[in-house]
Amino acid sequence: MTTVLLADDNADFAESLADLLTEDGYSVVIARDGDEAVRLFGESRADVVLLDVTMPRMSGIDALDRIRSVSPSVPAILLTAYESMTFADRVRAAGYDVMLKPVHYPELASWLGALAER
Amino acid sequence: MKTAWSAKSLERWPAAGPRDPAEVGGGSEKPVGRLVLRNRVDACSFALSLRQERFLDIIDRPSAPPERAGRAGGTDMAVTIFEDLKRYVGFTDADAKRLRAALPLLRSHIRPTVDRFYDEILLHDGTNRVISGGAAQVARLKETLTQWSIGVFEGPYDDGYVRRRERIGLMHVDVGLEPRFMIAAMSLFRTSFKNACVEGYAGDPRELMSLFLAIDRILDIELAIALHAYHEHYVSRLRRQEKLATLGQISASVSHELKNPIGVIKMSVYALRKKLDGTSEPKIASHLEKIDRNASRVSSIVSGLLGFARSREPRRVEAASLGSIVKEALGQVPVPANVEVSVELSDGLPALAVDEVQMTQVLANLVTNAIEAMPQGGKLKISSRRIDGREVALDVEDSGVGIPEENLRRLFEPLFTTKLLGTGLGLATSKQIVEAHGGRIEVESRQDRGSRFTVRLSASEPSGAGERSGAS
Repeated sequence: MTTVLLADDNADFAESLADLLTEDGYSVVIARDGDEAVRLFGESRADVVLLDVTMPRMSGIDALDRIRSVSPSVPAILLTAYESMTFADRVRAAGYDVMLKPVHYPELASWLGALAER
Repeated sequence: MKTAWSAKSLERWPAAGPRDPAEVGGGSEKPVGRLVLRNRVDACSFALSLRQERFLDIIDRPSAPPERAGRAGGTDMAVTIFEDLKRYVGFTDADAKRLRAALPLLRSHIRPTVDRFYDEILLHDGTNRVISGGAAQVARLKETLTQWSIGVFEGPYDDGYVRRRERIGLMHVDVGLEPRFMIAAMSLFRTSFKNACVEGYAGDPRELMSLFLAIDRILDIELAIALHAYHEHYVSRLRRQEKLATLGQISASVSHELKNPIGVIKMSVYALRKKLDGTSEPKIASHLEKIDRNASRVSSIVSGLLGFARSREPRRVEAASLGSIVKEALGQVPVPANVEVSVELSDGLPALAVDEVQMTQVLANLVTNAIEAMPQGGKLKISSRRIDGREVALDVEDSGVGIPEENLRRLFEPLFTTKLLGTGLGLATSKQIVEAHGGRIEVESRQDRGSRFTVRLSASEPSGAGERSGAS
């Protein structure tokens, strides 16, 4: 079973998304901030990582950098409510995959499926 | 600016004593009076600068209505300012009489002076932007200036006088005439009027000096009223910018915070709909559909607010053809079958140095508005024209319901909308984009006949553009 690490400080969002992912056959580990995401990745060795960009204590970008320092090839998608294309473009240009909120689940599921198959 | 006027004929007048201080309105006039006789033009500037602080005191009263919506309010204030100024500069009935008596002398000089003024001003680069209506507009402007000149001497100096003056001032502001042109014009007309009076008063230098003072007083008042219009406009613009900056900050922050809850609603609706099967109560599916549709609508409003809050500096400026912008914009907007679209782009127009994505957004927005203005169908025409060597105008014209007069002025304000499902951000954002490109967006409308939006852009590279690439 593919394990997804989902990090978002909005509990409702994380739980709703986790429900859908679980129904689609994923095992989901939820983290509430960047710090916890790094710790839980170490424990779960998730196959795919979904991180909100803006989180308390540590941003999704910093958390992903730490995760990739130990597991460089782990597929990951950053989620952000900052709709500014400038911001999204910069994050993409830095080599990250980005999806804008509000998330359209079928689109995310399809992207996640493709990443999990890698 | 090179001027065709000369003050030589004024310089030969010998010094004479100043008028009675009581008549000229105060003791401070005395030294100025002596200067007047040595070099009249310099003295006018000196007198004006002495008075400037007081002028500004009067002008700067907390009077300007917040949004210039109340032009009526502005006019009342202008009337008050007019009365204050008359009292302050000591403009008396005797001055009014002198000016009226001098008018027959001046009549034949006014039109040639107006002609010379426009010959001069039309040579200036900056005026091409303001006076773009060709010979017909110049003829109208000349007539207005002629009537203004006659009015200066004819009076009567009542409420109607100041209202006419204020209208002219607001017209200057509306067409974007820079104050320096107006100030220069006032100086040139001052000299010209005085020159024209010299011969007629050859035998009575004392009366001529009194007439000169009357001319100075009325023209100083005219200048103050004209500057008041600019001042009111700038204060109103400053307040508006502050409001917009605050709105932008709040919008960005609130919109970002709203994205997550909207996301949760949509995700939960998606989860519930997945669980529905054919046997479920149809009402449930219908309600979920409504929740989802409205969450999407909130999401689009939030996106609009975020878009509005973002800086509108062009991000990627390239040489773009109007043809490709029009084609792209029409591809983005679904056109109903009952709307007939025609595109008439002039041949040989220069490429525009614009951010093509942003400009396409502007045009798509204008096309969307035009279509929505024709619920029963109609004609949508997109055309282009060259205004002068440097400007290109793109017109989007519909045969729709038109825009009521009272809405025209507020049309580009953020969050102003008359549409049932509008956010009121489309035109505000479009205006920001066009202005960030150094252009202008204008609208003309007639009730039940339709509207025409015009985007005027410079064919040269806009100032303040961000990242640039490609030739322009």
